[in-house]
Amino acid sequence: MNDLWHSLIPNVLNKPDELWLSTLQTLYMLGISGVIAFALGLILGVALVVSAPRGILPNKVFFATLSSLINIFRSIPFVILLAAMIPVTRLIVGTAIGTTGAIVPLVAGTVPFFSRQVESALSSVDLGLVEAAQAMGSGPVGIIFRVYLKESIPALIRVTQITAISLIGLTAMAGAIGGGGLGDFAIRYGHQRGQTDVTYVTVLVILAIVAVIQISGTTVIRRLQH
Amino acid sequence: MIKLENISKTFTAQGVSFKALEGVSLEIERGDIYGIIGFSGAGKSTLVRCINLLERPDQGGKVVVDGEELTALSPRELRGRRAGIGMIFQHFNLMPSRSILDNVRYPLQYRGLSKPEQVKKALEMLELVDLGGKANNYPSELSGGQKQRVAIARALACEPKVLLSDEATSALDPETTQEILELLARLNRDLKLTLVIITHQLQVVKNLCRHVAVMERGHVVEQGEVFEVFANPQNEVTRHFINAASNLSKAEALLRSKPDWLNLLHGEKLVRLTYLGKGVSEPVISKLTTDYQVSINILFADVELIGGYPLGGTVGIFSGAPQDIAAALDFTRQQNIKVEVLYE
Repeated sequence: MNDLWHSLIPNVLNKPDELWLSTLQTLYMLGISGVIAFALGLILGVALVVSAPRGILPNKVFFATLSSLINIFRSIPFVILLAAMIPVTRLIVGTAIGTTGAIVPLVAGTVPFFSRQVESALSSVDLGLVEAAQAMGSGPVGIIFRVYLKESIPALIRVTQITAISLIGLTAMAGAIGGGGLGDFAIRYGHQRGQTDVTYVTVLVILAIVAVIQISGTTVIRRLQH
Repeated sequence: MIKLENISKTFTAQGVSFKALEGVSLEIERGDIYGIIGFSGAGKSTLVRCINLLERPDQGGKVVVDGEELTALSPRELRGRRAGIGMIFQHFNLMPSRSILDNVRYPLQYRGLSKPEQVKKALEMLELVDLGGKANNYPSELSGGQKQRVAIARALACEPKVLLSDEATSALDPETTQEILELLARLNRDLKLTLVIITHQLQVVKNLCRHVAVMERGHVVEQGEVFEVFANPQNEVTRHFINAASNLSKAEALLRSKPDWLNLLHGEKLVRLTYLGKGVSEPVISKLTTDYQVSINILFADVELIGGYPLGGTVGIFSGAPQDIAAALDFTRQQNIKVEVLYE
């Protein structure tokens, strides 16, 4: 049995610690930037829906500015964003390299995408519900929390899943600026040294992380839906 | 109870402005059931939204509810007052992620009640609409009529004095519509609730309302007691509405599509009689035959209860000597009956 593994994935078995460390680094980047991006994206998504022309607090200038800022950031390819953000990253977290240095560009690359997703999730809330809530005396804060957010929880979980999975892809790229993690691990050994088995195992680990996100999200949605 | 003064509402989209309401003034008495009827686009939904200021009328309009000028309140004060004005909608607008109980609790959470108090009140409201057993279900598990009853319970949870109903029965089948109308009538009677009913269904106004306003293109073109308006419509739109729903207009429709269907002999007249009085006591038709020697071939006859009074009429072919027919029609006119000669 041991021999079989050694012949299948020799290059993985001689550096299990490094594989473990890379996995942890990926989870670290995913967790920290995910939480920050979730909070910021939620705020911006709500801001978009609320300030939209048919929103509860319409504001043309604010909506147009925010909307075009998001579009600009969304259209920058992530690899370029990584390089372009280096000075900003240094300013914010003190370093531009390593997993911590990767967090700032990861957040910047995820927030625009996620806020659009939140916007579309909240927009699917029936405007009749908003009107009913207004008629019952809800103000803007009540409508945001008790109608928009509360009524779109399943949709929000779904878009969070999608964003988290695309964020995993971005953490792999962040390895390019010495961010570490599974992407970096696969490139250094699998690609640059031709240790193909490392690439495959890395893919399997990432698949496992994706599966956990998918299954847990779907389970929660199923519990909440009526 | 409700006073609207000079309400106009202009919507502007892409630089084009559209007047949904133009100088509408209305007064609705406490405890009344007031219908607002009109074809789609007449402005009735906008008008009802001006009562609780979901739509703010243009400058110069004044909305007074229960002695308080809502148009003069700050947004915060206004939100507090809205609890005193319940509202129900065509598509119910229940929150799908909340249980029936939590839907009814929604407005109570602004009333400073503890959770057990809210639950108690919500359950009471559900009992009031006969849905006590559905507290733990979700809106998706209920029929349309049940959903509307939950919406009514929710609208009444804060014990409002006014209930606004925006096409509340338009998405329901006739039987369920009748159930909801009976429930609304009962609430009006038992709770002294003032009802404002927006509808394009004549049936709703006939069965439920005491007063009615007819709207067209942002104006109120006719208003008054339901029976008066229906017995003696002054405006084209009102007539249109009534004719579309009445059996007695079938004769006209038939005449239009098949002019030779009648085959009137010389001297015969096709006549429509509409009873305008609040009660039909004289046996007019038999009198016409016995006292005036006019024979009447009845084609259509119809009686309906409107605002609690019978309103009806007869369409028939009158034949006899010309002077007899003329005398018979004169007599009929004196009986507070509207006489229309449709064809001769």
